[in-house]
Amino acid sequence: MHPHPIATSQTQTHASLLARLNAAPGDQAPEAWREFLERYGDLIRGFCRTRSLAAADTDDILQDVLLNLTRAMPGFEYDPAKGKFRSYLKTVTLHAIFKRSRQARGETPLGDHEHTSGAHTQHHPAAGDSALEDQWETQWRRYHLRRGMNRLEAEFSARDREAFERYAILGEDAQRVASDLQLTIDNLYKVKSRLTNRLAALIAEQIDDEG
Amino acid sequence: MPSNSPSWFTDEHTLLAELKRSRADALATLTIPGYHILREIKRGGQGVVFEARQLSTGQRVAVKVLRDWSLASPPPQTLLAPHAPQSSLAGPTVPVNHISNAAPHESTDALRRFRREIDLAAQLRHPGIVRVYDSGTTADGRTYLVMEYVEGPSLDDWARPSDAPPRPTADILDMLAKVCDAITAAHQRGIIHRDIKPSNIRVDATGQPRVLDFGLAKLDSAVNAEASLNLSINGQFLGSLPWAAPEQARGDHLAVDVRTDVYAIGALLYQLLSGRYPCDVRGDLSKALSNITAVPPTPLRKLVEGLPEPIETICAKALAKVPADRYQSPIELAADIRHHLAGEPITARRESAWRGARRRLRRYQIALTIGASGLAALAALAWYTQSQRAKLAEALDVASTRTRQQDAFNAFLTQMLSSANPGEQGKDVRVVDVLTRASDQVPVRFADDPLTAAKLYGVLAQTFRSLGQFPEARKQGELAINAANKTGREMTIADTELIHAKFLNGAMGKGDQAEPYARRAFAVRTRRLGPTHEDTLDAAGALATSYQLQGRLEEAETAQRAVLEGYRQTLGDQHRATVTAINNYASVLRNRGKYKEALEWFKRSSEGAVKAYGPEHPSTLITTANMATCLTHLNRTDEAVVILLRVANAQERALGPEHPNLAATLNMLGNAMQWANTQQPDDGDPRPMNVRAVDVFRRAIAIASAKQGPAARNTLVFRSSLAVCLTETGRHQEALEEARSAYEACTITLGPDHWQTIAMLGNVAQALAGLNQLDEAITITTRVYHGMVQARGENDSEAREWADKLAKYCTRAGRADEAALWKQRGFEPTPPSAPATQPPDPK
Repeated sequence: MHPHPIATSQTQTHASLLARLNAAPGDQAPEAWREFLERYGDLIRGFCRTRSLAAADTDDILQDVLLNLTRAMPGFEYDPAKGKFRSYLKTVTLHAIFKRSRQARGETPLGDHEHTSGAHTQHHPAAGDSALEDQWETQWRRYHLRRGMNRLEAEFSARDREAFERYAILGEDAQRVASDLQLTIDNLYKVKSRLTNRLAALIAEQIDDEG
Repeated sequence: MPSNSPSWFTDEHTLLAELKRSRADALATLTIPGYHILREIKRGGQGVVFEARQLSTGQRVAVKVLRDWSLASPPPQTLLAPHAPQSSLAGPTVPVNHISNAAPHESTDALRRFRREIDLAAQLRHPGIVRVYDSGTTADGRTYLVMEYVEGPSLDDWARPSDAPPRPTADILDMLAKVCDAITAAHQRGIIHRDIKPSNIRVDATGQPRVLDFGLAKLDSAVNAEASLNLSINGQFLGSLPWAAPEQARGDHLAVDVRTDVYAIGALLYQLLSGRYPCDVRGDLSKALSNITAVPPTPLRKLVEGLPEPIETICAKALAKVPADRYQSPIELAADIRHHLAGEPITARRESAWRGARRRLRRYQIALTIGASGLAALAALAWYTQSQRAKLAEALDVASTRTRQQDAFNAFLTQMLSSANPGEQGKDVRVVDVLTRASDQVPVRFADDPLTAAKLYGVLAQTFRSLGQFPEARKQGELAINAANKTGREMTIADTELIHAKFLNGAMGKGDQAEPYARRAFAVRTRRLGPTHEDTLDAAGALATSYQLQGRLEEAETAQRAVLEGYRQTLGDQHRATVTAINNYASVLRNRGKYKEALEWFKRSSEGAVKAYGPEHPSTLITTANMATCLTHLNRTDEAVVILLRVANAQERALGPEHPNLAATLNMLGNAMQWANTQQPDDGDPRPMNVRAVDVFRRAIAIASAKQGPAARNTLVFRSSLAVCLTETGRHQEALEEARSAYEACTITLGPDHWQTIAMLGNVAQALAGLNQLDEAITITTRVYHGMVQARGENDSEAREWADKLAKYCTRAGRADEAALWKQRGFEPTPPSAPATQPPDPK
């Protein structure tokens, strides 16, 4: 068991990342964009995958999203009260996907400029498509689960994580997991609840940070 | 699924259900041809590991599917070209090239390098390294690796089991020494692990450590190569923070080398013995990073009662903040651990230990050599005892034939040499004639004795090489390998292949052709002699040089360093082989543009060579000339010219006026003279030094072309030097002709995509620019820039220099917008990793 649990909560906050994106075109801009991609590229790709988009299309979509954000950023003031970043990002991503499918069908983009300037408008072509909303929601949760689970890796021992993995997630028999990992059943339960609570706390923090 | 409800993660039951669903989805969508995925084993920052079964063999394997690193395909061309219309792509405030900096193109490049690293890792064969069987791309574009399935606890769980007392210190030390052995095997192949931590090491049922995930951390650093401190959102790095070396914590990717792995092993040692990390990495990230870079760890003996002092000292040395103060390789660390276990004195010194003084340790004490060589002998013996009976039989067979073979061998050479007729021709020619005749006789006389034949061809090959008769040497080398193959003896095959690899490297500069020979020789010798045997190191050195010649400089630096440390450990600092290894390591540093470091190492090899060989020996002269080239790069051209003139004169005396070594020195001299000229205030034409340099280059070309062939690498390199010099001298038309014909030769010999071919094309562009044909010069230079990035990466100093040149041409052509964009890709603004000032490569 590690005596120095690593608290990962003090990493670059989402808001400050946005601030740096906003500060473009300073020297920091490329790096900020890269961070942005590292952080949200996964989410957007996952979403594209559920829409059965090819890898190449996904790359194009990511690029579109990035460009849209770039154009929006200088005039974009991030205000948590105005709306969730998540839905903002969703809007931009959906636009990119629709644009791509229009192009694939050979249609002319309709007033492309209208949804590039005001990305934080609440109107978007997919509004009301609840299946799409669900898919986005699922991917967004997965994204936070992944991030949270990654952070658990730094905080708990390999054995604790394996116990959690096998017993709590994969649903293996408690007796067997405990004996494999040389834990008492009681300890196994404790491990499960400690990791679950911590994961919940980390996700809460992430979502809070995201605004 | 209401999107505004946060309850999905606050309620334990819902949270776990969500996790389970995500796992099931992941399994359902994953298919890897040839494997049946059974279950998810582990999920980490880099990706997900599954247990699977190989359908053809039924074998149980682990499949690691790497995290989506995104941006796997190249962007539309418009984003790459700086003169693309900006308005349609980006807003007014974000220049296009910022986007492309952060986006796909570079990552594609990073991924390409990463995949090569994976391929290299897949070739690793060592009992302490988890085998990689296969790799590929899933249908949705993610990279996967198929690995050996290893059962057993991770290293930390092994060391501190929950239900038993911690392992005895001696067991832990022994285990870590074995970890060092495994890491060394990878270093010798040019692979740095970069992410050694307990979860990357499993202890198998036989008690052997098995190291995982070689090369994977490269992805992080490759993707982040440009970002200085892009750690904040990188979960993978956070998970590795307790074992990260100061250079990693600073984000200084260029400083990462074999000693970075030494630090991580030191951190493991600290953790396993004390139950604590060496540095406090809790809380604020910037605090954690500064702890790693600046705060010395609490002395181990304050945490572990009764711990022997030498262990504390070993650990402190491994954890030194400055790489130069650490053990210089895992071999050295393992040696000290084993000294301690054997009750012998260790080499690390206590005084410098915890005080963390910056004072350099004297790294190798003479007293060490006896212990170390004894150890090497033991290690070799262990390898032999492991080997099977067949090998023993082969050894006996060799011994019994040796006498017979030696006799035949000597008789043949004596006869051949005595039959030589001392005629009127020059001394070289006579020897060459004798040797050629000898070679013709081999198949006649030794048809039934391939062993002797192989040896003879080998001797002939080396002799031709030392006479500078390269085409003939090459032919003899190939004959030697053919003959060796007929013997069926793998050690004999390895010997001849290695000789040939060295020839292809050293004389022909054909690293790509040398690599497979060197690799096979290295593999055989590692298996038969052990990793630290000098013959194994010899092969490892050839392999490293082959990387270097292919422009794979990072791998080459790692491997050359590992070889050097191996020699120092087994043979000591003064040995000729060590001196050569120092020269080779310095040479790769020089290639990477680390001129100051390279100069220091060349000084050492030059001094070492004077002691080991004498001041006028060919090897001494080569390493001294190399040292001078660093002086050229560091703007100390006067010193360089003096040294190179002295070397050239000595070479001419010792080797004759037509030796390739002399040609190489003349090329260096020409560069120094020309560069000295550009340092002078320009007081109008003519530039006398340049005029002389042109002659020097022409002489170098004449020698190389006669001795190595008109299309040999050296000939082409020298012609490239000449073209640049002509341009500098204002003789643009001549420069253009020279550059064009050299470029055409290069496309044929090296192929159109080789970075040297591309550089040659750049010379064409420079000459065109000199003739004021700017549009054409810009078009060609743009091709050169992209070709260079493709071949060597965006951060490469050559690529940046071409960007600078493009900026200049664009300015002259009045294309100011483009000039500004190119400027940003050049050396200005200077990125943190690049040297502040870089002289134009005088090549």
